Amino acid sequence: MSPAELAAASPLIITATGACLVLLLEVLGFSSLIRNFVVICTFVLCLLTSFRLGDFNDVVFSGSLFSDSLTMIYFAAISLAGLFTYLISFKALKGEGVTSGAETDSLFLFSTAGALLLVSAANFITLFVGFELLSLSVYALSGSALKQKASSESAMKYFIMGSFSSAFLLYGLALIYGATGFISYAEIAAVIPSIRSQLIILGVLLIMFGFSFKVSLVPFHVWTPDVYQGAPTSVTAFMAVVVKLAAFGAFLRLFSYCFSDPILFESWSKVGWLLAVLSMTVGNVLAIQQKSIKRMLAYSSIAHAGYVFIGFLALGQNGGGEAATYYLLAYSFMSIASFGLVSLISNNTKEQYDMDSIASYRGLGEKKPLYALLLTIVLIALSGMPPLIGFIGKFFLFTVAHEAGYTGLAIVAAINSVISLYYYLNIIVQMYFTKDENASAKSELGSEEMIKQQVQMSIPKFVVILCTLLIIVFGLYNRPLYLAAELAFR
Amino acid sequence: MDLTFSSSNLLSLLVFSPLLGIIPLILLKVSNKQAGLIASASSFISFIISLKVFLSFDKNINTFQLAESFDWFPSIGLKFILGVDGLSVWLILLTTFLTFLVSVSYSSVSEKLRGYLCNLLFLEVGMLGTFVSLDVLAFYVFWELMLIPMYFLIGIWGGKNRVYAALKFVIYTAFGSLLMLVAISYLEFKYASQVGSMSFFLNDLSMTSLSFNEELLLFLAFAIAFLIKVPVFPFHTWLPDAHVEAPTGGSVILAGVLLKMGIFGLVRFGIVLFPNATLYAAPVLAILGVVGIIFGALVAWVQTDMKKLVAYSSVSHMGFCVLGFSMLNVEAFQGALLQLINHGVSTAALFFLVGVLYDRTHTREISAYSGLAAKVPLFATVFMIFMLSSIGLPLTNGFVGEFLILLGTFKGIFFLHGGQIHSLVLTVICTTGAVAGVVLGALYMISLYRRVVFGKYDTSIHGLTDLSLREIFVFFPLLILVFFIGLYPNYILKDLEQTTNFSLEQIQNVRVDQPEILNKVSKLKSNLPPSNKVLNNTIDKNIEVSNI
Repeated sequence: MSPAELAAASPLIITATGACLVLLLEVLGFSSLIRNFVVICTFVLCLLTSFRLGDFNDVVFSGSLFSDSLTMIYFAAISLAGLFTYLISFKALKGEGVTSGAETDSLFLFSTAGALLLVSAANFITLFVGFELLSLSVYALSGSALKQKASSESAMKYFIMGSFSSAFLLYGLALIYGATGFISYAEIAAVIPSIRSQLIILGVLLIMFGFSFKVSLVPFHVWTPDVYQGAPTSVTAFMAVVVKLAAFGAFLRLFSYCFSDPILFESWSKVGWLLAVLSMTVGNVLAIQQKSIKRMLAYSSIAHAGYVFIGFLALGQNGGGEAATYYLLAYSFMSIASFGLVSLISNNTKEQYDMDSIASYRGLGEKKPLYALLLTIVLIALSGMPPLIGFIGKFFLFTVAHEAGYTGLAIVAAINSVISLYYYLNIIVQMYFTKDENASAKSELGSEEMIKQQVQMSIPKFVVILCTLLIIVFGLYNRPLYLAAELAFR
Repeated sequence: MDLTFSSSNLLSLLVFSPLLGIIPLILLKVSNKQAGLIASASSFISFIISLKVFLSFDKNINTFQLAESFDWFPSIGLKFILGVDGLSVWLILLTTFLTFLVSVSYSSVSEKLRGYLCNLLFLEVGMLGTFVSLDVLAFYVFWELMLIPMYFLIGIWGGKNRVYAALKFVIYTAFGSLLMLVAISYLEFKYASQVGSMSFFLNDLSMTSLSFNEELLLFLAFAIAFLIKVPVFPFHTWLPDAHVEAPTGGSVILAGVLLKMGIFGLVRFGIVLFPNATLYAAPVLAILGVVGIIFGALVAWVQTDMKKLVAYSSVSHMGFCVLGFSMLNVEAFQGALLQLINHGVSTAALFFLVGVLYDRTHTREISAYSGLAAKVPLFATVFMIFMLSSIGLPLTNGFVGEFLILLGTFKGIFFLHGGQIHSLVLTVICTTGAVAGVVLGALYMISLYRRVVFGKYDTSIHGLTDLSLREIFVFFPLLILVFFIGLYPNYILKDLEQTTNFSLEQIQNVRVDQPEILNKVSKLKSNLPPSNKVLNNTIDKNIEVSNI
């Protein structure tokens, strides 16, 4: 095995082995603590090994895997996000009715392996295998709360809608294979300029639709709110971050590398423009009237996918991919923090199923000042206010939109940011500006317990605090994040 | 303007000095009294530093002084460039001073005092940063930074309808500023494609060559953000809500400092980055200003709520500032800048006064009071002085500003600069409107004073006591300022002259290198009836000047 091959394969091998090991440990009757330890080690090892990828710029395993800096950045992001969401899910999953610890643990790892494969794929077969491995594991994960009807419902919905997306993708891949006769990205990219076939355009559009399902762009978003709401919250965090990172990573690679032909770009850019505008607008407008916080965050994630997609339309220019990657990385931090907080807040109260509604956040500023403060910062960051992490990301997207000649898109995005302020601030209104009518009775009951919970440090809490701090730090000092995004498209 | 660098880091020290108070307030568990003490001390330190800035400022040098530059985000050319000119040095002083007064009078807030003071100090960081940033994106960051603390101040410590008012404030302001962000990114893209490197520094960006339409659209995006903040007539509706609901401290800061941001933005960025568009849009701004003056005054006249009355009087006064700005001649411009500071002093004091009454009796209805002069003579005296200053009585500060604006408006310089065909009609409208505004201003203010202070003392008013020592301490320096500026305006005007000259130079330069404007002027000339000789001559002279 050449060093490049080893580098490309080791994170994949580690995660897959880790997943199997976790199952084995369960069978052999080891305690859950060891299992958790193994999962964490796997994520950490995966993170560490992925840094070696950047040294090469190579396609390995007879043209099936990339071993380059884009892979490195996305590998690192995915394994870090996987680690964070896993740490958040630690105790939370049990509270949400997930009984089977080993299965969910190994599914976390399997889906991470799928995500990695999807990002590093250098031909259509690997791409599809990665896509399916990721999807199938996440379907199962979202249904992991066996006792909850909503969870099963969400798994079913996700599965059916996901099958559509796989079908779209596969059809697209097949059409392009039919038109060009190649499956590897490099060869397809080389022959596309010489073959001007309608099949290719159709194929590209179908692939785009397939990915649009996964990253939930309007009009392929309908599964998102239901699935996000029904799935256990930490799984939702995983879906919102890892799945999006992987799908967007592969999507970006495909469109910046394989389908980068300018004439081809002309043919899909109008559809892409529509996808971006619809996602931003529909996502934000529908988020306003949501009564469940998870649904609201789901719609907001649709809108954020729309923002990221602006970067796609500027792929022809310098900086399109960078801007999209930057925003995606920024969004990942905000997403982990927001879903992590929602999970923490709902798990620490007895009446957890009420805590999904936005109205139940009433008076949180007094009941749980720390969580309320963190959530406030995260929500303000999500709305793209300076000096937090979302701001420069948005600014980059605006700039590349101008460069690509899509000034209108930047204006639409700006107006949408104002709309989004409304529903993000609404949560703050609930937490701080309105008082909980029946709060006095409750707080008397568990005031001591409440203080205990506030002071107690737990791993999920630590992760959430860390993410929030990073949101502030990267907002003030964005160089690391920018370098990462720049490196990915060197 | 060029930069004069300084090695002292005074400005960055000033901007971040409120953190001295914020950090202990967040970390330590302190009692209300201690919290108030910490905040007062911290804002006092800021005030001292701003005094030092003021003293180090040399009014004879025509540059941005005490400049500092830090790389913030080198890969996109974002720097943190700070500097003060004659205008911002006064606005900084006003900001730190009012913040200090507000934090000293913390006792009017009883609930969650720590949070209140934290937000106040955060707001101070945003305000100071906005006034000293010479980097457009850094300016934007600070501009937005002010939004959230103010939102909390209104939303948590406000009155009954606070949630609505706070949200309205944020949505209005954010709408404007996000359009401004799009404009900044477009400008940056243009600059980068022309120069090849990125920079957000004001002087660099002002070199960008833009087509007239581009410039006009970009100016529009900036101007809407600024005009919402001023607020100018059709965008003003958030102001009364925000003012009425905000706690006294919030109102004082809002009226005293935040409302100045709009005009400040136009002066610092609008006119420098888009001189042609400013010239082109000036008549529209003037009309909006006049409408604001009359509208604000008339609506203020019929208010039954004292705080709402003062809020609408702000709309009217800020209308004067916009009018003065858009005349683009030395007198009116300088008057507008002076009026910014005057309004900060007298309206802030009026809000404090309303707060004093409200703290004692918990009502702001004008009809609930009468004959206060008998019961609280000191209050009545102080109220009278600030009322007269707000009207613009000679010897008070308000007079100087309004007089200069009126003087400039009479000159009606439109046809000299912009070559607008309706110049004479416009001048007539503006002068009539402005004079009517002055009269109306006297009308509603005096009628407020008459109803509240004169008449027979209503014995049903409970708990009314005269000004406490702390309140006297708050009002006293403001009183001094009223008379100081009123009697010796030159002291400030000399500083403001620097900004005025620089801003108007931008407009002068336009005539020389912008053929589009020249074309417009000559087209105008051909449209004019031959009888209008005076105008023709002026235009001729103008073109001659510009051709040199």
